Amino acid sequence: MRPVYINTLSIAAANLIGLEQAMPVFIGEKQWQTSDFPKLVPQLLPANERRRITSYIKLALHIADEANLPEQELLAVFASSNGDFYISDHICNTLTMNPKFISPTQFHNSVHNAPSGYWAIAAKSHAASTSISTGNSTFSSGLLEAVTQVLSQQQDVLYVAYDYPAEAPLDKFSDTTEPFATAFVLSLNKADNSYGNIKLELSHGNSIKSRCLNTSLDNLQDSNPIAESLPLLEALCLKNTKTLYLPYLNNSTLKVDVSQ
Amino acid sequence: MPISPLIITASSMVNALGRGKQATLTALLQKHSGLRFSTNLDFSTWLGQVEGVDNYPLEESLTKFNCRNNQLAKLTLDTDNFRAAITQAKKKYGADRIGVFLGSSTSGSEETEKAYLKRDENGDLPADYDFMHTHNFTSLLDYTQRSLGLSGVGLVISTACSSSAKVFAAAHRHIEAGFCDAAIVGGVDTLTQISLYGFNSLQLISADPCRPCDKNRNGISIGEAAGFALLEPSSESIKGVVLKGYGESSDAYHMSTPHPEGRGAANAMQYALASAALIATDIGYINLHGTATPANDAAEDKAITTVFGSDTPCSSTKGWTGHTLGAAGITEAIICVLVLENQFLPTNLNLLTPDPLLNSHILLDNTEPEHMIKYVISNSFGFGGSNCSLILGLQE
Repeated sequence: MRPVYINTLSIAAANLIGLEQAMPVFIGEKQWQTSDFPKLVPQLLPANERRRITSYIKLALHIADEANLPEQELLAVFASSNGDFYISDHICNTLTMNPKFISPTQFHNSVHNAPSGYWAIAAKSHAASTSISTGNSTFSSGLLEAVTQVLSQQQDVLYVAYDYPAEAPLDKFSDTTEPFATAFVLSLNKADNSYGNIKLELSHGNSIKSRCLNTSLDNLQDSNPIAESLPLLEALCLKNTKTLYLPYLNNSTLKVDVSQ
Repeated sequence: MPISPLIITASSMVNALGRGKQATLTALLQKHSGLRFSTNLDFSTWLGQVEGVDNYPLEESLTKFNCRNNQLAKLTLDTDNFRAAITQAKKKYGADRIGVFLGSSTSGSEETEKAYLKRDENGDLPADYDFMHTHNFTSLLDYTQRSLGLSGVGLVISTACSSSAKVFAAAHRHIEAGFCDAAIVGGVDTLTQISLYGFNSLQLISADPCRPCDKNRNGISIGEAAGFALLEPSSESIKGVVLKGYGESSDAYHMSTPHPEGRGAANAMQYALASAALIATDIGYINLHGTATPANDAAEDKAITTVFGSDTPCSSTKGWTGHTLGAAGITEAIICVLVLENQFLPTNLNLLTPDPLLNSHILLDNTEPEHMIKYVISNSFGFGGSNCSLILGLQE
């Protein structure tokens, strides 16, 4: 396949809000440790709209906004394994009490493409947008979908991936324990400040996933399906040339060749 | 830019009209609706329910995926000789070279609804509840790949009511980029309390059987359904129905209301025509999204007259199946296959009084086309302003 360039990049996790916080950890100057995740205030929605959305949707909008090139309508791929646990909990709770009291806003926010819909409205983007999930391999599947869009449409694609942990009682039934999100713009053309390019290939019979050079990130990588992107984000930020293996379906892996 | 067509070499469907394509075809020809009055909800509505799902067992080795949504998936995989076609395809391409691209809006979320009703005094959910193998969208993909013995690429797309139309586009791109050689596309959606009471909270549900394009239309009837199709690279020598084009767009307007002028819908249809290298007059039939809400049908009508004018015959088949949400795209794509193969145009079932404000050519009865229909377009639009149009064509 033709190499696909990653021209912008953003990240959000506890103590890793933006590249200013992430770079010292990727360089190895700082060890990662967890902390409370900050309340994000995505600026692209007006205040009255912001009140209607959950922390999960805020995380998606924040990370999309951080990565998006301004003044461009981009094809978009939104990827999340679990969807919005907060809304699932609230709606199912309401169903047990009085189903007729389901909030119409919560119901339309419950669709998996709610973040993508809000983003299109806020960014005034009429371009196609897809929302996907494949459980623990969601980051790899979304990346594959984004790359196929770049290759077939020959247009830049915004890739946004995010998952947010559940609260009780759903928290016991999910391995997602930390909020994590990343987004980037993929392109056939190398931008001046590009992070490098990737080539993807499905790899069978190799289920060993890559780890970050900074091993303090291992716990974070295992805490959220989207954090499986960390070895790739680290390699891109360090401008490395290397081959990585990300978890994919059926215990296979997605081989990612990163180069400059 | 024009795409290379993919041929549909096998397909299967199950919905309120029955099991298999013949059941749907017969009901369409005889104008028998699958909608029935619901007696167990707090409000009046008609539902397109599939019989015999709850006692249809999954494979013994896959019982951890047990939920109504996956049971409907299995029932549909077991229909229309679909499994036999996949066995053949596996010999031809290899189990790891057939991608699986599925749409759903519900997945097995009914299991979470049921688990909440069984919480203990501490508010804890029952220990046997399994989010990842039922409610998480990957459940449908993981189950389908295991049930068919496939190990290639795969995706679940969940963009509300456009989900199982957009899977055709994703499958095409993955084949084009070389990540698989053939693809199964499909969609599975089952009735849940969340979607029934959710649409009710938005006042979008009709107390009567839905009446698409009728002057007095007043909302949707919800249905459940599943469908699968096998897409293979096509050469002009092979006869059959092909995926000829697709178009996707966003409204960027409102989370649960379509753009009033149908701008996003018109874009999706125009992109589909461009990718099929066709012009509007090549299209012989439009299968409408046609939900029977006042806003949807009015906006879609404006989009259609913008792109096609007022001559191309249109109908919504939701009066038969109900609005099957995440399975609407695949259900109506397979209905379009039946239209092309049998050269008949289904009416807008339940339409009694034509709406004088709609200007497109709304069919008022089942019709035999005057000329052979070679290309049809199927529309699917969803919450969040997600639009997808598919063009299917007859390759002779």
